[in-house]
Amino acid sequence: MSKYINHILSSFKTHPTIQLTTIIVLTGTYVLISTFFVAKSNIDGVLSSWGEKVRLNIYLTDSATDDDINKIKSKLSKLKKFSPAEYVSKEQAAKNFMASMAQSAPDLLNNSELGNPLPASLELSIKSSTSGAEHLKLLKIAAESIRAFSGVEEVSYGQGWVKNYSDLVSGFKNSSYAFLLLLILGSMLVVSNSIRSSVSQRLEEVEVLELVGATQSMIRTPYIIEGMVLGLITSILAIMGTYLLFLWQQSIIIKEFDLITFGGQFHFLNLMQILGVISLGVSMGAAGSYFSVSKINTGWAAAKRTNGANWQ
Amino acid sequence: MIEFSHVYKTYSGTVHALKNINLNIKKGEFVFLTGPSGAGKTTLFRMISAYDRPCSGHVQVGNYKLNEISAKEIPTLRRSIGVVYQDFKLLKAKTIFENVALPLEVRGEGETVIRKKVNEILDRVGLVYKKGKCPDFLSGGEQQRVVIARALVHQPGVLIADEPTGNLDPHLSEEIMDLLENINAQGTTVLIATHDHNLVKRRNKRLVTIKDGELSEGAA
Ligand SMILES: Nc1ncnc2c1ncn2[C@@H]1O[C@H](COP(=O)(O)OP(=O)(O)OP(=O)(O)O)[C@@H](O)[C@H]1O
Ligand SMILES: [Mg+2]
Repeated sequence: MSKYINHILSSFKTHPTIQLTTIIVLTGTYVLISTFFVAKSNIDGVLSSWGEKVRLNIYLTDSATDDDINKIKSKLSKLKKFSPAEYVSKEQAAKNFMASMAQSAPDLLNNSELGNPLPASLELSIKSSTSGAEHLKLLKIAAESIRAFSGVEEVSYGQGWVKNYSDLVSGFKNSSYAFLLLLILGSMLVVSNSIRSSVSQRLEEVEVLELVGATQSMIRTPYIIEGMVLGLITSILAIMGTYLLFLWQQSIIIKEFDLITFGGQFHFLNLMQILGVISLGVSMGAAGSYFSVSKINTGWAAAKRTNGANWQ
Repeated sequence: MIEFSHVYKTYSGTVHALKNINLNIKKGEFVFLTGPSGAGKTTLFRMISAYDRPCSGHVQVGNYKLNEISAKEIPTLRRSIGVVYQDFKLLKAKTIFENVALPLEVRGEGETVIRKKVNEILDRVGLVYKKGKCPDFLSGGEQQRVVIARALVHQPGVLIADEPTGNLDPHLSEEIMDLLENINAQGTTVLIATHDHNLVKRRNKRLVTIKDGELSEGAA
C-alpha cells in the first residue's frame, strides 16, 4: 500500500506540471460528462412531459354501436404502453369545444342552429415511462391496428408534429451519445499520456526491475493504480464542480424560465449516477495507464533501448 | 549450464559484436573471460541474462533455451541468475539496502528474510554501514560492491560478473575474488569478464578470450 502511495508521490515530484495539467484537463472532461448527465436527465423529463401530451384520438362514426365501442376499447386495453382509453361523447366534445372557444368566439356559444357536428371519440395517451424516441412508432402501430375496426371514422395523433418531436428526441440521443463517447475516449487518452510520461521518466527503473526478474504485473500495477487514483480524484472533483455549476445555473433558470417547462422539477445526479461517473473515471484511468505501460514493459525494455526502437 | 552454439550478434546493421560463438560452461565451473575493450564481452553477457537476443544461433542457460523463451519465462530465468552489470544499473532514488533487496522482493520474500539476507551480504562486501545511503553518495568502488551484493543476495545458480573489480583497488579486488570463489565452492556457476590479467594469473581457473567478437579457449 505505502509502496503505491510512494510511487504516486514520486510521480508528482518528478513531473508536477504534467500531473497538474492532467488533473485540470481530466476534471474538466468529467465536469462535461457529469453536466451531460444532468442535462440529459432534465431534458428527458421535459420531453416525456411533452410526451404525455401526445394523444391518440379515435373519432367514432355517429352510427357506432355500443358493441363497436366495447370491441375497440378491449383492443385498446391490450396496448401496454398507453394509458386506459377515455370516452368522450358528442356532448362532452361540444362542451370542450365551446369552452376552448369561449374567449376567441363567444358568439358560437349562443348559436344553437349549428347543431353538433363534433364526433364522439376515444382518447388515450402514451405512458410517461416510455422513451420519446419510441412514440412515433407506438402511435403508428396503434393507429393501424384500430383504423379498420367498424365504427371508427378516423384515427389521429397529430402525425406531423409527433414526427418532428420524435426525430428531435432520437437526434438528440444519437448525437449526444457520440459526444459522450468522444469525451470518454478523450479522458482515457489524457490519463494514458500522463502515465506514459510517468513511465518514461522511470524507464531506468522499469529496466532494472525487469532485469532482476520482476513480472509484468509487478511493474504495471503501480502505474495502473496511479491512473486509477487520477481518475478517482478528478471525477470526484468534477462531481463537486458540476454541483456548484448546477446550483448557480439552477438559480438563473428558475428566475428566467417557468419551472413548469421542466416538468416542475430540475434535479442533480442521483447517487447511482454519481457513482457511475466516479467508476467511469476509475476505469478509464486504469485502461489508459494499462495502454501506456504495456507498450514499454514488455520484458525487453533494456534491449529495446540498447538496440533502438525498431528492435524486435 | 551455459551453452552457446553458432551465436551471432550484430548491432544496428554494421557492428558485428559476436561472430560464431561456441562456448560450453558446465555446472559449478569458474570461468574467466578476457579480451580488449570492444571485443564483445558485455554483449556476450547480455545473451546469457536475456537482456538481449542473439541475431542467430542458440543460447541455453540451465533449462531455458533463450531463442524460444516466452515473456512469462523471462522473469523466472532472471531470478535464477545473478548479474553484475558493468554500468551497475542501480536505482538512484532507492537506498543501498533497497537496491540490494530488489531480487528478493520480486521473488516475494517476506520482510524478515529480506532484512536478514541483505544485511548478511552487505556485511560480506563490507558496506553495512552505508545501507541507508543512496548510490550517488557512494564511491565507484562502493557502488560496484553494492552491485555484487545485489547479484548474490538471492543465492543464484549462475553468476555472471562484467568487470566486477574494475573500480576496486588490488586489495579489495582480491577480497571480492575470494568471495566469488567461495560462492563458486558452494555450487554456483561463475563467469567473470575482466581486463585484469594479474588477477587471472593468480587464480588457476579456466580462461576464455574474446577478440573482435571471436572466442577462443585459453589466453590470447
Ligand atoms: N548498443 C550498441 N549499439 C551499437 N554497437 C554496440 C552497442 N553496444 C556495443 N556495441 C559495439 O559492439 C562491440 C562490442 O561491445 P561490448 O560492449 O560487448 O564490448 P566489451 O568487450 O564489453 O568492451 P569493454 O571491455 O570496453 O566493456 C563494440 O564494437 C561496441 O562498439
Ligand atoms: Mg563491456
